[in-house]
Amino acid sequence: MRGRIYSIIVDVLFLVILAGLAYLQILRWPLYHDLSRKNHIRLIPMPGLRGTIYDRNGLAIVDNRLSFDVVIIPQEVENVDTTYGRLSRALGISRSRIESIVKKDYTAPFAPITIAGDVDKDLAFRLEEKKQELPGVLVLPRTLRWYIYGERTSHLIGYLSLINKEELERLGDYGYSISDLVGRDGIERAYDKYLKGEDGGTQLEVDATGRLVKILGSKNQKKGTDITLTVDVKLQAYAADCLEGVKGSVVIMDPRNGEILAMASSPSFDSNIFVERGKGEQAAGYMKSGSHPMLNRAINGQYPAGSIFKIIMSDAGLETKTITEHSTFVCNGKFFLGRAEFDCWKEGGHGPQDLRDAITHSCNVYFYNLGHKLGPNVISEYSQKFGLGKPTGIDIAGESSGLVPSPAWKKAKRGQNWYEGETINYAIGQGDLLVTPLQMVEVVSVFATEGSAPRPHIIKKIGNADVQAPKPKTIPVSKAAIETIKSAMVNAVASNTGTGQRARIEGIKVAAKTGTAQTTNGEPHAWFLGFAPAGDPKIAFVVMVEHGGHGGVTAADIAKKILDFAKDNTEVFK
Amino acid sequence: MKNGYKLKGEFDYGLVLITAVILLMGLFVIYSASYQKLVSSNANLAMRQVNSALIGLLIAAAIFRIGYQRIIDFSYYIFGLNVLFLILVLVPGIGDVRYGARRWIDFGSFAFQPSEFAKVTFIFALAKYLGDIKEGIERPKALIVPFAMAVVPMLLIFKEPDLGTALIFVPILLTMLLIAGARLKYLLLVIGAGLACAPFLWFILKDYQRARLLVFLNPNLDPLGAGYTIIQSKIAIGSGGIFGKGWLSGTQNQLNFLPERHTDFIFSVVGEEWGFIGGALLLFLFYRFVGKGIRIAETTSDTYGKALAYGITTMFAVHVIVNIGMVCGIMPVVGLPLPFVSYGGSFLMMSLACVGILENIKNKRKVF
Repeated sequence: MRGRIYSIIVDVLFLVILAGLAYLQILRWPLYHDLSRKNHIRLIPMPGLRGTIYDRNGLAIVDNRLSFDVVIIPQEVENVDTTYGRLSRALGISRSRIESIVKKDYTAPFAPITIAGDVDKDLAFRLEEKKQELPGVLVLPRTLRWYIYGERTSHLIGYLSLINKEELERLGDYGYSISDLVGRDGIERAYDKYLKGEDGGTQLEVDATGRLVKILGSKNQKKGTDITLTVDVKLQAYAADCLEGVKGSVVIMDPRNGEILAMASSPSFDSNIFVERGKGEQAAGYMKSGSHPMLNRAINGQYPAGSIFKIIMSDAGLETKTITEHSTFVCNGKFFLGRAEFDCWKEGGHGPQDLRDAITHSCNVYFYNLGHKLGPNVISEYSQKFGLGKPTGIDIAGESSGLVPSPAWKKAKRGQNWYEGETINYAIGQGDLLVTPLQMVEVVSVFATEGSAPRPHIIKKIGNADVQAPKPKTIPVSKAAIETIKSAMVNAVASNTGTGQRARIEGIKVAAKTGTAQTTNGEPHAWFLGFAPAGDPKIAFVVMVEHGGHGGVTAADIAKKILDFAKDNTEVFK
Repeated sequence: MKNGYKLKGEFDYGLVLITAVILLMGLFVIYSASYQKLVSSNANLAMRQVNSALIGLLIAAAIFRIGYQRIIDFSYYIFGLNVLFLILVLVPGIGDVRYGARRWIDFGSFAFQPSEFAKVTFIFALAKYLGDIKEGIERPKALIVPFAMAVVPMLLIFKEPDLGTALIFVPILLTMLLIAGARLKYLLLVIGAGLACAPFLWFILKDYQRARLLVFLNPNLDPLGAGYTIIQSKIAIGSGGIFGKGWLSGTQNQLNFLPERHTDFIFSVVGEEWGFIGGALLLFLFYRFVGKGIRIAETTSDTYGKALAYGITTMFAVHVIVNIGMVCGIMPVVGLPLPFVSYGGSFLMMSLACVGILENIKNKRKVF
């Protein structure tokens, strides 16, 4: 009996459902059919906008701009011949090209296929006016990533390109799809998950002529989170301009907190090329170019340090009490180790030099003597203490670590013993030692702040939330030693015999050290690093020019130009 | 006669055939519903569903061999263990949060949903209780234990939150009590009390759950928000008409206008692409499936088996009716998947296991 009741209840419920189904699909079919029929429902995809990237003063560095795409909805094209013909003439692309695009990108009869992306605004408006004559052809607005400063911020910001297969498999679950652009390099890559917006779309009910009747449903697109950088974009752009025509890089950092104010690398590339359709060849050209424009030389370039290494040597000498600030070595242009001869850059020599003189004049013989006394292990120890040999941990990916050699390293890596002559070379930053410009700006900051090494970073804010700056490392150095070296660096610029005198600027005392790093091929690399104002450092900088000859000339000139610009046009010294 | 399952006619081939046909239809629909996903990110959900089905088949075969009576003996322990898992799911760090709900426990590449299994372990535990107590069920006091057994998992599942799965315990409980012979008077009293409490339930619902109920009353209340899915779903089903738009050709489906269409809203893809003919056919198959379940329940002389079969059948019936009713806009949206059709491993395995149990009850009915 109870089973019977139960059966009846089940029967009734199933009947109700069946009736509901019949009502929707048979009785109300005309309405719903109408709603979803050709010409009546149209989907306008709205790709999510990426977040804007601002500089420290709120100027946009990267934004989104409106562009127009010409698309075809295959189902609505009435006369393929005339439509393709007219499109071909209007857009200036061949008919066969249009046909091949339609064939390649076809997914469904009602899904739009993009024939031409980012077309001229006038053309877009003309086509829009003619749309009655060309059913099935639509002009859709789209936003494109816009790198306002073009080549001048590319290494810092990175670029976008289509997601690849491996990434898609990894990120598919996080809402990425095959048509998504993902960040490559720089900020675009490192903060992709914040910057990326969310796609949306609108489903419109339109009449036979394509006019909007009503909006049936829409999913709002979402803009990604805006990001504020520590960079001063005016300074950045100027620094990039200063590097034009040379290979090299500039890094400018606030030594007090590690905020990167500018980071430029040359040659550069234009990030915009990657988001514009039809510029694939140009993009591929970047990848293939022998001058490696895609390489961020500020964080990936690994070079011999040359004489800028002498500031680390000086600290090692003072702290180990191997020398005092008054210890004097006589430079007569040469240093002998057994029968081997090591030259000073100044023929005939500098004469008797104390530490301050040696730094001011960048005397090699002084440091050959010091290095000989210290030995390779102490030099390595101090190099590592200043952070060489490992990445600084800046918040963009792919940083190189450089190399700090030592006898143990050489034995392990090459199976060879360390020669005494290598120590002599090591003392002036040559040999196997490799550093990146970013590492060196961190090194010079230790001198600027007298003992604290800031951690370089580029992000200031994500959305409205301040990003906590990483805490600076404290480097155990003696204040007295640093003070001595600092005063010598001031001398290097201020003294008329100093190697850095070309970087003098009016009203601001600059402390600096030049470097000329020998290379096995061609001209030496030019280095110039320092900080200013010397008494109360607000910026630390490094300029590096590959095969730029003497650091005291090429690199120092660039540094001077940038410092002058910073003084007059930015707030960084305020 | 110990080897009962070798007897001809004691195995319901019809039930297996119906299940197979529904499952096959489901695979085609999942393929279509996830076609855009397949195209865009290479995720072949239909293939994953086949894998779950194969595992489910093994579980069903294993249960069939073990026999439901042996499981009944342990059913309190199994139920207890399941409740423990339901608690674990709620522990941050153990439970895996997806789509804003904490429902899964992750075992490396494999994640399972304890709430899916709770339905069955509850049915087993209740069947044991009802079988043990027999005529004693007529006493009002005997109803306390069954209600307690239902309330504990319900509250835990409600907390996840998963309103649909939590509520399904109610019809299962009531049906099993009714069939076991509980006094109608008491049951009606309880239902009445439950309805009287319903207004208070309103206050413990999540915002989105309230929104869904309001939207059910009037979908146009929030056409771009909570009402969106149901409007799109109705357009999809309605525009399918009698014959449907054809496999992989549903505009609503393929244009990504139907959210959750490979899981809870899969029937709207059936409606759009296969039309009234396909939808009604699927509904009919489910109707036959439920009918066979009732028949198995009615013809077994074992009280345990009867309660078990009714519980399982009710669970399927509620899933089917609520799910299809919801996507057609006849019922409020509560997330209940469509058996053998919706994408989802735990639920499919559990459903197939239940078919194994039903077959086993049928198989053993002559033993007593």
